[in-house]
Amino acid sequence: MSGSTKVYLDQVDNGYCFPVIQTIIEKDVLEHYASVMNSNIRLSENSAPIVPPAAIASITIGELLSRIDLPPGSIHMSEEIMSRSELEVDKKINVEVVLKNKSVREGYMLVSLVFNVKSETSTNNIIEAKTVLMIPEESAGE
Amino acid sequence: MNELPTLIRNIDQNLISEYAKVSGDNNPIHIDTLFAKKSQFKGTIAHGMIIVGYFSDFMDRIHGSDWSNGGTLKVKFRGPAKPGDILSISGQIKNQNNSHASTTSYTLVKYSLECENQRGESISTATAEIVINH
Repeated sequence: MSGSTKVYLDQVDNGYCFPVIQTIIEKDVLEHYASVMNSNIRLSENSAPIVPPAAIASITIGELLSRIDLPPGSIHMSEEIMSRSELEVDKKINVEVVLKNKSVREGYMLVSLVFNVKSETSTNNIIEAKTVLMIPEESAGE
Repeated sequence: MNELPTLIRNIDQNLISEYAKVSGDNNPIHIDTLFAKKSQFKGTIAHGMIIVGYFSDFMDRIHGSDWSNGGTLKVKFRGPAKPGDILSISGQIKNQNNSHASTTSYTLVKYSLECENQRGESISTATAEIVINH
């Protein structure tokens, strides 16, 4: 998907599948993440750095947000992450995202997004995640 | 219930801004002080995923690779974490159940987690589950 093509959440229905995001979490990105979070980097059995589940979720959510027309002032309400297997750095991943549900209440749109992150070489999920966002109908800064 | 060692983390604007760069989440509520002053929070707030990361680190310290290979984390955000906050991430084992079948044996451990600021205000609560195969 082109980074310049934005998805407008008010124009898509429940069940909408976003174009699959392909990305790679590189070693320098992981090191930056670990430095910011003050966390340790673990190594796999073959000594490759492991990307923590929360880092996978953070970076894939960030990738998705760059593809959504999200007004400023949007708030993260809840997050679920189910980690199924470890991801080593520099491995290509595919991120499938589905708009599970959206509803409008008191000037906000509540949106549930379900993520499945898979290795390019496997059909098994690395993580599954569910993100709930509260999006203002008008920007808080306006 | 079993108390576990608390994780302490300081929040400042530099951390939030660097997190925005690495995650790609550049929502101005996190990084634009002028915009954020006009919001309901009266200032910038930390990304919710920073708190998720702290909960995940808390579990990783206990379970290591088992956490990445079979952990589940469910987080609810209760209030904003702001620059200057000192966060305490704590947790307890709620229960654990052993299961024995003819070919497999595992333990399911459930945790209750909490993130509070220095004023004792709840920033976030979470539950975590992990399956440990024997």
